[in-house]
Amino acid sequence: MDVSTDEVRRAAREAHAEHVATMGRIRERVTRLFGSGASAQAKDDATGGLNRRQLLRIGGLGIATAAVVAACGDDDSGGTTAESTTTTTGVGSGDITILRTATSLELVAVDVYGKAIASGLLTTAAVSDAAKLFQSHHQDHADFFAGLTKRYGGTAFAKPNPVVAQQLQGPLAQATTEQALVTLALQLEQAAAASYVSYVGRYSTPLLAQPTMSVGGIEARHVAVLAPVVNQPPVPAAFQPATGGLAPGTGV
Amino acid sequence: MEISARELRNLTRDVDEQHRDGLDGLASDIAELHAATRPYRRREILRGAGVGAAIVIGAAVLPIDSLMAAAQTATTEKPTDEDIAAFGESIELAIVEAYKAALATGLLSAPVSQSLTQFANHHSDHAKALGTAGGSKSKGAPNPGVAGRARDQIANAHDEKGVVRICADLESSAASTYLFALGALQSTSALQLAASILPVESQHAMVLTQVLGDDLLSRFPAVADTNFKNNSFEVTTRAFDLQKYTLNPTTTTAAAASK
Repeated sequence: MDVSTDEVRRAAREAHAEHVATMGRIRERVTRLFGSGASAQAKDDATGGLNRRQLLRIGGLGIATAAVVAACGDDDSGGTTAESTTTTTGVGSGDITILRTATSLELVAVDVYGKAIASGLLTTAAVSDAAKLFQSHHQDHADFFAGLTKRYGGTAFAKPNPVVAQQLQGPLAQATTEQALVTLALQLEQAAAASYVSYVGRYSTPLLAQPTMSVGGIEARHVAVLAPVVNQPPVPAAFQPATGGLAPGTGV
Repeated sequence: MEISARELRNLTRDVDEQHRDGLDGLASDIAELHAATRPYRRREILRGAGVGAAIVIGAAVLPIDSLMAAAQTATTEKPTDEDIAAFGESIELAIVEAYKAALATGLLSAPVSQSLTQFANHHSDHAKALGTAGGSKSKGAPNPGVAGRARDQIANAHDEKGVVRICADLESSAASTYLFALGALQSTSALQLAASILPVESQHAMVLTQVLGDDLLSRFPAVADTNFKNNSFEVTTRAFDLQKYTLNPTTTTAAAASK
């Protein structure tokens, strides 16, 4: 791969312009999401994150992530809906809630990819193929989390997360190009990856960390594939953020 | 999806800036994570490892039992969080060293060199975080077995693809190692640290296998004996073995590790 100096300079200029424009949009979104007067702690809890600073560090918040975060934003209690489920395996009711939330999020992804594929807008063969593969991954993940839920005595959640799905209706309707759909899918994958890292810190038992991240790593891989399609970096940071995900209990 | 030089630059151009932004808060984040440590009982860990294997029904985490056994025989006692973190640190530093060797071959194009440089920075950050978590167990040195083996392999590579394949394999094994670790770690802080690193190693592997032109499905972890046919889960099958790559340099050499 030979790269000329001119080409590097041109790419650098374009990157800088894009960076400036993107930062403006990010500031606007962050202000919109976090300027409603709720306490900082409540908002951090709602995003499943470690702290506010990390949210600002993500830098990739977009429509889908904003929808997921907004879906959690009204829940000042931290988003966990206690379920009266008991198990004899060391997995608590809060853990079951997380597994149900994970299932619901995976089914949202299945639905979004399904709509993207059905739209006919994915005209690039490689993009269409990736969408089909990723949809199948998310279905496997949904089945996996549903199976875990049942295994530990809970009732599996069996439909796309209604809160997130509603939040995504508008952005999906407005996505009328392949690029827009890929951007939406990318943001959903980013939110999923962040969700799973945050869940590892929320479980009452370490039992579920490994199964959860066997899925979380794959969502991150999806990010690495989709990001270049819309000129975003495939590896946005040295550490996967835990912020910007779906708070446990939201919509389930 | 074929990748051009321009696309590869696009893949990596923002990483360094975000990497530096992330570093600003790294130390405080680690401190916060440690403050949130919630130790689990040893009984829960062992049960977790065993059930984890059963849960996935022969898929993602099948080998955890044998890996745990290997890990446990590598030391006289079961590995602690500190042991595992120290092992992770040594792996990260070995990858940093391997990437330096890769960059020194003169076989890499500018975009690939840029990517490897940035990924090496990530690994260096991971090593710092793991070194902190490893406490007195951390040695602050590359794992001798992994580093030696990678060095030998890179020295024998004849072209860019050969070098990139070695790096991609290192990344895949690193991701696999963290998934393994997630079945053995006890504290929330250690679990979250491993969980935050695993996805990044996976992303590195995806970028490098894209450079190699591998088809999309084969770029995901290969799962044997599974009900899931789409390579839908991370696996532990490629994890660096604590016993084979022990941190004791007197018992592990590059030659022994390559056997």
